[in-house]
Amino acid sequence: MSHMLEISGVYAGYGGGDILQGLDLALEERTITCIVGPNGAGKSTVMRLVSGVLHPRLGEVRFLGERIDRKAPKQILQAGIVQVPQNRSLFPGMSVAENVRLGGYILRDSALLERRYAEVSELFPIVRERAKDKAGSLSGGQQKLVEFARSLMLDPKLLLLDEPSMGLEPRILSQIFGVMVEMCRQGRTILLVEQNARLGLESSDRGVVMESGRVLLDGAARSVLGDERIGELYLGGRAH
Amino acid sequence: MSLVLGSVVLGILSGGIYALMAVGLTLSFGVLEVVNIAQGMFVIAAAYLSYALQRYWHIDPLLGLVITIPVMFLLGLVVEWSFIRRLKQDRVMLSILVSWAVALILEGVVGLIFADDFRSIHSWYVTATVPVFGLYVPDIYLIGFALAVVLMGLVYLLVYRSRFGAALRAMVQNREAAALLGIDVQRISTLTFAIATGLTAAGGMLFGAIQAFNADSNLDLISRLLIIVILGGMGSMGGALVASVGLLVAVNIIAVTWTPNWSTFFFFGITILVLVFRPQGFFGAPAARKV
Repeated sequence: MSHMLEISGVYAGYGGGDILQGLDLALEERTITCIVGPNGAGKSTVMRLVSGVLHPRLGEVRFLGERIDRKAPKQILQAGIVQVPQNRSLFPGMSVAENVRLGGYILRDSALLERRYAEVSELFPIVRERAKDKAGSLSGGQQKLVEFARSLMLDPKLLLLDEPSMGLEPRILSQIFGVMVEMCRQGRTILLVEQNARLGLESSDRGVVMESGRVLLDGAARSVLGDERIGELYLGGRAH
Repeated sequence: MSLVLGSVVLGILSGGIYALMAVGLTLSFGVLEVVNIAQGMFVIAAAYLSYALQRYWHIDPLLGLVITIPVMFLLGLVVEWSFIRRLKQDRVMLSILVSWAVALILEGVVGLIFADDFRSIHSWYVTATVPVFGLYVPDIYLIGFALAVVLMGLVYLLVYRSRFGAALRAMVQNREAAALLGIDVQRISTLTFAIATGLTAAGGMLFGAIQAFNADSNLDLISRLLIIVILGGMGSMGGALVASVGLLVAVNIIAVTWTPNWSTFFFFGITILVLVFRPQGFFGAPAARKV
């Protein structure tokens, strides 16, 4: 079985010591993998590692067989990995259309850019309906959808979603996660980090539990959800 | 009465010229969070450049812009690379000190070359005048105003209608998210500072043509430019234009109807009032940056 993304033996951190301490993780194509774990486990650090913002001290990261752990963020985008960061990442003073087009900033071919824009606004009607409105005037859930739309401008193979539920009203979460599942059905691989562990795992194929920069448990999302130890630790009560 | 009208026209024209000198200051602050105290000295250095080209190579000051704009652009690249990008934190405060040092260095260099005699840029359009409501306005004011409008229009197009400008505005609003989209934040910052410095070539040529200057002139000039930018709301280009025109019209009216001696006092008096009662200026929200 060939893996789309393969992280092996990675030690990485920000100068104050390693946050990731021998991380091993492999993603299969066209699946959703959800990383859960307590604060400080290194979940967001995994995202920074894969998107090239952080380089490992030891170990390697391979994407489609090729090493990417020394590449710059722009090269990683070109390889087909796009991150949707946690918190709100739209540019509030710019229009929705401008925001989405900036998702294709590194595309030099303007015809391709316009074609992608048309595809994306087909997929996300909100982009068409609110094209001229300032992104800051949209609700939190709408902004998250526009962020998803923007991330598809490069037609990525791998999407990194960092805490998509953060700051959103509970009633729209199922819509957001439904869109994520739909993006996976259309052939994209998704790596999800989610504080709201139960919600994240319920929409995922695979679950990975991290603790202290290492993988504690890795298996089908359902079995991770059902695992008693995990249930006690991270899923009990309100996980959010 | 017609004298007042004439001074209004003169105020509008020179307001446009001052806005051109201030626009780089606004750009640097809005995009790089840099308060560039050296802006005044850049203008003076550019004035000397135009002066030298004309004096020693007989190149017309307007035509000389083809040379002076790229030279000032390069100077901007060098200053950004050697000083500004080293400031990793607390940029607003540190940039004041660092750019002041840059101004002192440049002032020293210019002083060495030209001593401290007052110079001025001459050309037929500096001495020729057109009558406006009883005042004789030198042609250079009209040319300068037109040049300011064209150059600021180009800056506007660059910021609001180009791919570079979209990346620049994105970076101002959310640096980290912009970087994740593949926008080279450092490159945009460097180019913005260089463009801001390049624009001083035009501002300097005009400044040197409308008044005599020496290296010391940069102190008075930077105070005025800072006032314009603060009144306009730091980082707002349109605000700087309105503030500049408004201030210069007021100063000119006072100079004509009362005495020129009080007009400078008025310039700085207004500033103190604004800083006390409305420190965010008239076009900027408190602590917000706009480009």
